[in-house]
Amino acid sequence: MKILKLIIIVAGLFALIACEDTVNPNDEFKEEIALNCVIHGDSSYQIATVLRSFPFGDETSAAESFVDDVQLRLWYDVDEQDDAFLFRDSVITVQDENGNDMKAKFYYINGVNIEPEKAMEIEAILPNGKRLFSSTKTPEKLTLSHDYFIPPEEFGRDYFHLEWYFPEGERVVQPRMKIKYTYNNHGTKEYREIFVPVKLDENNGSAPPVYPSPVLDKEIDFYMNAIDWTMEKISEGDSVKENYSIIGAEVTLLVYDKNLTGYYTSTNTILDDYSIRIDEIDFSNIEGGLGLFGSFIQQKIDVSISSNYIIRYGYLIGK
Amino acid sequence: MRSLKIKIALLLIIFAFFFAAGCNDEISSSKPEEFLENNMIFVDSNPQGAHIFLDGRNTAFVTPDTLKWLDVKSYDATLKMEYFRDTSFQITVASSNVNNIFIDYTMNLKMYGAVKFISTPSGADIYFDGIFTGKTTPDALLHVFPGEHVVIFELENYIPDTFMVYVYSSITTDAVSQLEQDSLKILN
Repeated sequence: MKILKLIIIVAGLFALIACEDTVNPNDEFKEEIALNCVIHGDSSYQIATVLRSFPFGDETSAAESFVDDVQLRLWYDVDEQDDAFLFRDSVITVQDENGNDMKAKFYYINGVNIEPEKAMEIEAILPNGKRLFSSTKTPEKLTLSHDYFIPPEEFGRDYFHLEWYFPEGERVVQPRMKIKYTYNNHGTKEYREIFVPVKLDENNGSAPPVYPSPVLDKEIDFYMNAIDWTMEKISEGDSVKENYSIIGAEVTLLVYDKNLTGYYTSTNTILDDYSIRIDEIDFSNIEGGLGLFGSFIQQKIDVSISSNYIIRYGYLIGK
Repeated sequence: MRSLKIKIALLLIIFAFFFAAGCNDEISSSKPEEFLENNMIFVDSNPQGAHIFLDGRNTAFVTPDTLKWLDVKSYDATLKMEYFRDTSFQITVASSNVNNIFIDYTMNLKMYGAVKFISTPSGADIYFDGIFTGKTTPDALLHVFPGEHVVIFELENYIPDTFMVYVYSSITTDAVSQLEQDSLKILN
């Protein structure tokens, strides 16, 4: 009986050793392909990239990971117009994190102006026949409620208030405010714009401006001390204030679609055409590979700046 | 003792079976990758620039071009071009060779349109794309190739009128003009 037990124990140990798998992160590397394309509602020029992954530790550059000769197509307004666009490839020089020049290849199309609630599809067929596909729908327009004047008409309120309503689900919204003005440069009128921070960081000694970032919230306030700071910044270092004519303010809202909202909330990364990385696999909506296909639309609001407020800075009232 | 040996042998056989089965790790949860075959077809037309649709879907390709990555099957193809009627036909994609399709719009009489020329006053000479037609208003031209065309009406003592007409397949387009008197010529 002891012999039997011994045999079972030895056999069990043998089985454990024999079935052990050797873990090697570099073994049997499986290449993944990522298709990234965010359709911009504020431009008719659209960009996409198709990148391949590379083994851990490989010093492959971004340009080398780019997949050439991809048949890449976009369909816009699939349910009605069914416009189709064939991407072309191009290359630009950009600077990496260390300030060194590097080539960035990309695919592009021109003439795509998106509207709310339009279905879109994208398809990439690689030179080896691998097919990647995705679809999205441009977001609905936001219903807006906001102040019409700077400073706000409500007595004593020290912020410009804007709130929005989205009929279904959550959407990331990226608000921005800018002041539009002209500068009289020796008789020539130059059009200029300056972005307005939401607030000044009072906790910091130098009170640096804090600019708005994409939010899941449904409202934003631009504090008057930040708007005051921007008005002063317009003519900083220039004593001839009459050279500046203030036209007004404009608030733009970039409304992310469902996919882009999902990507943003999973990575907390701000949009950048060239920085969506292949290893960001928390969110992917690409069939047959990895990556992101999304869109955002842009909504604009014109805001009047009161004459008294403009004159207070010595500026002229522009048109 | 003999039964013990039998038991041990039996256990070893059972163990060997489970060992062999247990170490089999050829189990994969991922689907095998699928790759499309690059079956192609070359589509051209006269005039060129027609949008190619397959099975009702816009391919994003315009004639002349080669459609790639197609399935081996028959497709309902349509060429769409501004001013022209849609041209529908069937293409069969084969795996071994690149098929060529050529659609000549000029050979299809249904593709042509017509222009009716009307001027006030009437009697003006009609020039069409810079060439005198030998006709005077009111009159018409049949079998006009679709697209943009330049019409000139010329009538003595009136200012010649030059304008564009847009001709569509199977449609008669009116080229209408109210001629203005040439005051200088009248005075002379």
